[in-house]
Amino acid sequence: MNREGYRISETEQQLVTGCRAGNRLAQKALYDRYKDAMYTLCYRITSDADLAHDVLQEAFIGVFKGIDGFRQASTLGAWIKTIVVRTAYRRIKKETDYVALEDITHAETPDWGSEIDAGYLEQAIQELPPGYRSVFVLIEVEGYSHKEVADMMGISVGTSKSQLFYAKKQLQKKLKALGVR
Amino acid sequence: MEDKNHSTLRDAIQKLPVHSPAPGVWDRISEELDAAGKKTTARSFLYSFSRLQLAAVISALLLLSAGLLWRYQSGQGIPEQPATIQEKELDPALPLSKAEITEYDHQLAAQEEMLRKCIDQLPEAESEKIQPSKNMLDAINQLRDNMIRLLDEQGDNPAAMKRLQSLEKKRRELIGQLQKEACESVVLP
Repeated sequence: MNREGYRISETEQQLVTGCRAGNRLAQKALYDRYKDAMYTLCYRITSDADLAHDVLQEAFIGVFKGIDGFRQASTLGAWIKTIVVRTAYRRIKKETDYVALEDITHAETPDWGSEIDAGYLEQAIQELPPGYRSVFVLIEVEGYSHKEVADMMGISVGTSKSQLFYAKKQLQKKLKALGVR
Repeated sequence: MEDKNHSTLRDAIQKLPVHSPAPGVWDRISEELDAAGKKTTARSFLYSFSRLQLAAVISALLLLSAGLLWRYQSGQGIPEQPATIQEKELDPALPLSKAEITEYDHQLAAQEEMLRKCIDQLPEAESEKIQPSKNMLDAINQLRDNMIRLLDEQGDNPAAMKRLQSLEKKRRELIGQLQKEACESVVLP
């Protein structure tokens, strides 16, 4: 890390400089660099290909318009990802119900067994309710902490934890139903 | 509390497929950026003038108007140009005679009225930003009234009509630009 924050590669620095100048080739190069990862994230959170495309478009417009505000407090990818997650979450917020926080301290811990097929796991994730799905994707797949998810989604850390717990419970049920485990 | 066999879940997550967006997404992003760029350019054009520059332009227009009126009132009428400007030189997209002004103004006046309503709704800071352009519009309107009065007296003089057309053109452009800036963020009751 330098004094400003994370050091980004020279190529990314050039892309950021180009994007700040409104250079369309630099914008396209930045989009190409992150489009697959960000679209995958959009798709996992929304579970709808059309909506995921809309979110990706809106998020990248936000990235290009707001790139002056990128101060390297995180990596470029992490900064873009935050914008994508916020955009996606805003779009699914209406249909997201959070279950009331229950005492899960003494609940049975999930057991994932010895093998899970990734294709079936993807399918099971897509079938989760939006609130469970987004918390599971952000924490287990994307590696965010409960605190970060709580801040991004405007929920409490406790709610994030309970969402994850119930998401895992449902996932296990679904995987069993699919005959995976 | 760590899940039992959490590594199994982690391994499966590592193998989750990566999806690619449809090729048309970039085109839509690019189009939207183009549209946003055009809007910014139009806005920055007006803001590129300092208050002093705008004040100078307004003063010059007012002086010109006063000069024309003075020449007319002292019996000299429209100077020189009537002989050289022909009706065919007039812009056919704009009013060609005093009679056409009324219909043309009917449309533009409605647009201007909506603009003024938007301006009334703007927060003070936003309203201050567009004040120089609004002053210019007021000055153009004043000049325009003077020219119409001149035409009332003189009939459809091509030189006067050409001046009036040029004022109408500026007025229409200014109303359009101000509408983009003032009415974009305002919801009229």
